[in-house]
Amino acid sequence: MTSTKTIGTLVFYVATSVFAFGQEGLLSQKVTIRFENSTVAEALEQLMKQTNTTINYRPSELPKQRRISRDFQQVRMSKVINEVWGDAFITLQVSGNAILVKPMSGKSGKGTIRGRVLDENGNSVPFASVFLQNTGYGTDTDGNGNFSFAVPPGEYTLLVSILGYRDGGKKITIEENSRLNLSITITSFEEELKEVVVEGKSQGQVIREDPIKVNVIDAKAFQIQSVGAAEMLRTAPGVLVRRTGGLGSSANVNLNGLQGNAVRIYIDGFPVEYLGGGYNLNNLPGGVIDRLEVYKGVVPADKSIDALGGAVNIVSKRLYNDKLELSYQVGSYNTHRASFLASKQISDHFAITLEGYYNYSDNDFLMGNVRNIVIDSIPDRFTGEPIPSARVDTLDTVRRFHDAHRSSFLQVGLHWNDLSWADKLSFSSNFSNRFDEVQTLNIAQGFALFGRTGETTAFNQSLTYAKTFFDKRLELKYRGVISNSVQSARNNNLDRFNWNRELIQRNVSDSLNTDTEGLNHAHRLGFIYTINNRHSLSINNFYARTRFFRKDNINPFVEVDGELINRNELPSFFTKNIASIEWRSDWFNKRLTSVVFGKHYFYRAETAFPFSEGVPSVEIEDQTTGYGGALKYVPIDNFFIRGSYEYAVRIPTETEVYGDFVNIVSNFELRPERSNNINLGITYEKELGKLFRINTSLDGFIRDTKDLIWLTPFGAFQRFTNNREVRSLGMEWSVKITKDPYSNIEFNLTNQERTYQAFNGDGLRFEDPSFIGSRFPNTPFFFHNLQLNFGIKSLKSTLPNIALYGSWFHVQKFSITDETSNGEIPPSSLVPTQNEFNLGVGYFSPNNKLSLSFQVNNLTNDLELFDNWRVPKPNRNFQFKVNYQIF
Amino acid sequence: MHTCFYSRWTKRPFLGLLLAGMSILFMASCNDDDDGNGTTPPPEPGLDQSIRFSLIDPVGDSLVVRNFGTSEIDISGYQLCLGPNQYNAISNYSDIVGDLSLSSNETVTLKLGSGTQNVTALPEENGGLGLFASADDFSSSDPELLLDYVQWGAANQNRVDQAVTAGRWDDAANFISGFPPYAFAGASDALGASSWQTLDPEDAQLRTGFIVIGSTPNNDFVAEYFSEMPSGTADLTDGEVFPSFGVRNVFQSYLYNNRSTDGTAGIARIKVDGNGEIVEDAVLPLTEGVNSIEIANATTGLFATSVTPAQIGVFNPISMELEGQIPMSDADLPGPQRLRSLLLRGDEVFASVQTADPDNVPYTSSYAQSADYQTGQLTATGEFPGLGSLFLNAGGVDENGNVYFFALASPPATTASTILRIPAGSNTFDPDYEFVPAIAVNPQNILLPFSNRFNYVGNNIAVALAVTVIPQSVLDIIASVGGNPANLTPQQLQQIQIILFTEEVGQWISINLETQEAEVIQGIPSLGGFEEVFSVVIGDEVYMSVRRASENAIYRYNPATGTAEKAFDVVGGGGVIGLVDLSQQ
Repeated sequence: MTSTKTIGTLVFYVATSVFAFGQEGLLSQKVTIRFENSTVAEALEQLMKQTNTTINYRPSELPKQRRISRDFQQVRMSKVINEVWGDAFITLQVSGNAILVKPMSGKSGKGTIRGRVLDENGNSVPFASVFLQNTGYGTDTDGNGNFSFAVPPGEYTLLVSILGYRDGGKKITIEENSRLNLSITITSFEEELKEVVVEGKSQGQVIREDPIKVNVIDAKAFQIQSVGAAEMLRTAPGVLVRRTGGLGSSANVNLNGLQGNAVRIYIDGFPVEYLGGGYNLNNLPGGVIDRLEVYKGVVPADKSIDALGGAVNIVSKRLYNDKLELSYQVGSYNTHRASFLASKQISDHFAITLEGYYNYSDNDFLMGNVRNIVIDSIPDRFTGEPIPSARVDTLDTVRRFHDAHRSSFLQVGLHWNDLSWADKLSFSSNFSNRFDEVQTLNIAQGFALFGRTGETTAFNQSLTYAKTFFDKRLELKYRGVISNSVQSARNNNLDRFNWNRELIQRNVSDSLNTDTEGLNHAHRLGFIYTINNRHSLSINNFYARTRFFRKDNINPFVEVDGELINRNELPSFFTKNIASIEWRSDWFNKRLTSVVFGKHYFYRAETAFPFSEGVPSVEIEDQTTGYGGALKYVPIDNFFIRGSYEYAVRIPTETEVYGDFVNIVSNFELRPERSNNINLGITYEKELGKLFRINTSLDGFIRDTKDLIWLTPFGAFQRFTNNREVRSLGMEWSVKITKDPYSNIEFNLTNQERTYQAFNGDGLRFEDPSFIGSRFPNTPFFFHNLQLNFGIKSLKSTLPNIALYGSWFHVQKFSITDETSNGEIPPSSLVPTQNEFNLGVGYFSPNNKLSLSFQVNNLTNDLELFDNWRVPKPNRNFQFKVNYQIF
Repeated sequence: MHTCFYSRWTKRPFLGLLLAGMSILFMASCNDDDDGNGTTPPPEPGLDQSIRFSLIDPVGDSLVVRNFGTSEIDISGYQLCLGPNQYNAISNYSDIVGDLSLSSNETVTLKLGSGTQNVTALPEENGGLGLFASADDFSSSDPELLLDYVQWGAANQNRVDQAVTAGRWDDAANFISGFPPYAFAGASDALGASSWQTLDPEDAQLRTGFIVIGSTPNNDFVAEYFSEMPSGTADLTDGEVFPSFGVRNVFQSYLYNNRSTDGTAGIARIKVDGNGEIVEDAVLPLTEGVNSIEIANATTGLFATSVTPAQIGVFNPISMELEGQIPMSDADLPGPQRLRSLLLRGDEVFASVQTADPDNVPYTSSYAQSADYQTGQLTATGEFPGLGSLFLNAGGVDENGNVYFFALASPPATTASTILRIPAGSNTFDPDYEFVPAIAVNPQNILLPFSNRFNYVGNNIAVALAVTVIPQSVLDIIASVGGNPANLTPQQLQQIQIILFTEEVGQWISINLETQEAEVIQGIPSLGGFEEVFSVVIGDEVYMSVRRASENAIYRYNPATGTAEKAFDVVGGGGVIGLVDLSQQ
């Protein structure tokens, strides 16, 4: 709550600063001038002539004895005047094209302001101008973003200016002979004002330093690159994004060993599964993303849902004032990605935003060492007539086909601010559509699918409301979404083709065309109450209800009242409610921060039941609780220790409970998955000389999962059971050395073991205890990534003109099957060690409105790179991207 | 017996000839005397030999003779001699590849086989084989009569002393040791075991022993070879892990699996090599996974897939090449017709038809078709009306030619697992044979008369896992609605399902197909009624798996005595799902 209050205050400050900066323009004007033994009057005269400005002063107040000899090169006008005036304290006021110099009286004993300017990522900002509004006092930051200057006592507004960044602003008071230490954060232009400065820290930094372990990936660092959400996410430690192909393919996030339904994806704090299915981690372009927040194992109350292993929150970029940003990327495989963001401030209280994106790719990349079935002709032993006979070729290179992806998104938003009855009110409506050609998931089969497609169309309406009460001590937040969606799957072509695109087999399966219609409404309501400056309490509730039914060409097979019906056409309902409460406290002058929370999970499933007659519906409901907490301790500056714990819960899905009425039978006894998640780590930050800064974190984690839901053979069928206990135990190390926002190096390493711990079974089935302790299949256990960024700038520029960037992703070999205790991995199960290299170069225009980049992915053209199982990733490809901020 | 070698040796000409000439050869009966005392003085070692064995395969019961000389020699009168009373003239063999009149460097391949003779095979473990120029004197040490000699596996075979005396073998104590076949690699005058090559262990194939298969927690497969039937505990810790290992048939010690071990489509032939490693030996590539494989003989294997138009594939199980198709389309059958299980009866192959199809009206009848695999013609389509099932599985063929199929319970089409029969001499179902074994065991079990894993044993006896135990809690629920299951509410049905799915309600049962009676096999514990189990007939006994919370074992049941006992426990490889006897052909 404290931070929220500060946000509001600082918004005012920053807004004021921006306004003031317009008047300060004259004082900010860079001047190159040389004085040689000039009096103050002579120097001011020379300055007026050269800059064509008027400098007004009372001659009687001139320091008459002072002479100055100095060469100023590109120095702010205010600084020049201040230097000319000497040690006397003056204030500068601008009126039109005139500057009024007024000596300050009654002051003595200058104070010192020193500090450091950081960007929103915590990186030093070198060569920024730091100055006091309406005075001549100020200086430039050095290579490490540090600054120091003396000023007379008084109250000032400190401003920071550098091209490409928005000014920070801070009201300060200088006492006589005092020294003020400041940490000032400035942000790039597109950053939302409200999220910029919170007591000198960016929103991302605040989250990063929360007691609950979070990795924050700043999308702006990738702005110039041809990457989307999935590519950004995989740069975080402990994270694997496991895709099954190119752009738009399914992407499974593995967080500290847990994946699938255990990891939830949010967009702006809302679970993506309630947004209609048009979104996908692998189709969100970078241009619409502000940052990614990765919650590992422990999820705060305001994002509560049944996320067993953690969550990824994709925070979308928002624009304020009048802005229009465009981004377009074109690359190999006929890949096109375009996005735009626009905002228009209609009045002080009302703005309209419009955003959208479009993706397309043929995804026809090359794959190596691929099995390919070729059909020869042999004489039939009975008739002598030719009949087809399959032969296997192993092809060095084959081009993937029928795997195109197309997705589009358009959203309009209406935003009101600072109304008497609402601090914030937003209504947005969006339309999304995605179309995918479906290629075989198992390349090793030697054949390709040709006729399978999927399409999802969703229409969402969202309402957001926020209001504070009781002098902003109580904050209310609400967001509700209503989503209509249709997911269509078509499998009309029942033939198989080889990788030469030749027909090899007709009628391999039955057609299955489905249209699943879903109607979701989901609501999150939260209250945050600031008890005092040390304690706050938040209460949240998430409620979602899904209604869906499927139209398909499966014939009726459920008997109701003696009549066969198609069970899938009966609507099913799934309801979830997750209530949570969280208490945050600061202790020992904020050296210690604590968070405790509790969660209550409830779900109900209602669906048709094949054995029932008359009442074709059965309800299952269950409830359980979860809890957790976090501690952060700052024993010394720039170093903190934090630990967090959550007893997390995942509610079974409807299919897991009821089966699919074809091959999977129901299990009404299925329990929610549970997991004891523990994080413990240290973070340290230090300056390395005058140019560099290092930030490093070492974290350990445990994910002790009980009642893992697992598809288990059940006679001729299968069913989901709770018969696994699995533990992930690992550590991750992250180190980042930063010179400036465009020159840094980051290395993340993860070593984890995910192993079977117990097989509780269902009381019926034998489970072999000899596998306890053996590795869980298809889970990489050692991987790291390296990110390199290097900015090259001209001497006259404060921003780089050229950015070079590269990355290296390494995953050590692992098995996709279980391993017996002898530890041998058969070749058919082995995913070999992976090394992926990417390289790019970018150009920024001087005003930073235009950027261009060229990027090579999979630089070594490794045709056997795999994300998940042994499904190949795209071979070497080239991407070109342009970003343009029109206004 | 037949064999085929897919090895590095296939590049060698002599083995290539052998592979080209595999055929059955009967050995004529011996009509000669026993040992005599040779009087001919021993010749000098290293005597030049024109006619010699160039390959001996005791496992495959075949050999190759080569003319190392320069002139043509007719060997039709030559004799093979294993020992006393074990002689046969080469001309008596019928399965001969090549001409018995051998020109210089020519070879002829002889295949031993079944017959009325006293010798039909080469001893696999150890033996000594002599080549005599005539039947005049098998006790002779005359190198003009005893032309060549080879001994393997052990020293001091019957004719070795004569061979040493004749200069046809170097030392009675020497013998070939290694994996057959044995290939002569010396010059024409070379002597002894050092002139013979054996297969590398990786190229060899073990013909005896057992494979135990387990299913891991991730439903991968672990398979391990045991030279003897395990007893006590079979530990699969050192087994090999495969993504796929679906054994559909065993023939000549090869396993024929429904997919390649990496999961790709095609028939995979698996062998156990000389190191006891289980390896994929050959693959017949297909575009679809295989539902069923039956092997009639060394030249004809049959398989069914789910492709349409329905057809039975015909392949050579030795060369692993596709050779033909038997069209099985029948326009009278409703919907797309997909074949599921095969059974062989004489020259006939029977195929069950997938009896429910998501794209069409569910079958309300069960269908099985038959074809003549010699002519490749569909002969009949049998229908059992009024009994549809998602899965109609093959059950077995009895000694009289009755063919049994097993319709798995799959509500609402079929609520009881039912045995159907195609009588001997017929191609259509017996309309009066509709046998529900679970009810035969427990007439109270009208709620879920489910059974599975039907397997014909012999003498009209089959086994299956059946739901036989109706817990009292279920009976109480039924009693609460007046004893009529039709009155059960959905909630009560749901409750009953939970009970039946979570309690040990299943037992292995013995089924008398003739009397249509069934009984629980005593001595085997109860287990889940829907567990993934198997049974396999080895010798006179049936080995059946028991996989329950506290036990992972294979039991042994003797139908003749009606007794059962635990054969061995299985550890280290997951739940046991298979047992293969390699010696069973």
